[in-house]
Amino acid sequence: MPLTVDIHDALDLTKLPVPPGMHILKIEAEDYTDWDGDPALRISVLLDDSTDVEKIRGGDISKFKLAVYDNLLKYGINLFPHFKFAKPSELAEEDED
Amino acid sequence: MHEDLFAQAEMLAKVDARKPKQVNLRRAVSSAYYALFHFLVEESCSLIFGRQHGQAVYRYTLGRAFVHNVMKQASVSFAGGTLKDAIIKGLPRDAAGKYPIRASIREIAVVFKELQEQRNHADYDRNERFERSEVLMLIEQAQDVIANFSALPDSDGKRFFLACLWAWKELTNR
Repeated sequence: MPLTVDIHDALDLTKLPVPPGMHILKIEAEDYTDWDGDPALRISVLLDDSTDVEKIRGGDISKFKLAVYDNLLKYGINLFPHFKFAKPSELAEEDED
Repeated sequence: MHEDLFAQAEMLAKVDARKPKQVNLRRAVSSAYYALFHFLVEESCSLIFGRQHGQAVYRYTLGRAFVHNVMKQASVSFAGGTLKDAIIKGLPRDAAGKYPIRASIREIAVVFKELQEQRNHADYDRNERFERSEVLMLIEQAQDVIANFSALPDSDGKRFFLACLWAWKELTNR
């Protein structure tokens, strides 16, 4: 499924319940095929290095993810969103490998 | 058992002081998935055999019959918040005509689907990389959804979800 404007609307951070303490630099969606071959979405979330993930409550993470999922469904995008969180410093470590 | 698996997952995610080793993050993801898997299987088997210590052998025996993929398929449907009409025929509906699914059930279903996907990559896909931040958040989220699900009062809706984790394939084939 080609990514549409609706997906970008569904990921509008100003309308999502971003967990307290989670500082998001960027959020992007791309087509994804899950392990069983079903079409899905991969939602990549780039966190600012200042984010202390151990202070973010699990319930707030769930609310955030469910809000994204519900937004997608609202726009008729019936694809399960798989989230990948990372910080710039962690991605830089990858580059060193 | 699930508490020990979560403790193991957290220990593995944090064991490397600086740059985490991929192997430790991978095993952390796998342990977190199995923590949630065993929790759900135990809850589901408790519906049939009860929670007494002496009934554990029956729960553990029945638990061997659970199928990861079937549990995933049921979870995907509950996670989406809507079950097909053919499945909920005869079941109570809300004002909108939908079968009501509690948020705690949707949330645990979402995390199960997500963790199973991550666990498959962690165990079998060496192209996939894991970051400590995402692994710690997954562990925290999985622990939270278990706490919320456990706090949910016993209800037919909760029991139906747990039963669907083993009955889903046959239920959807009819």
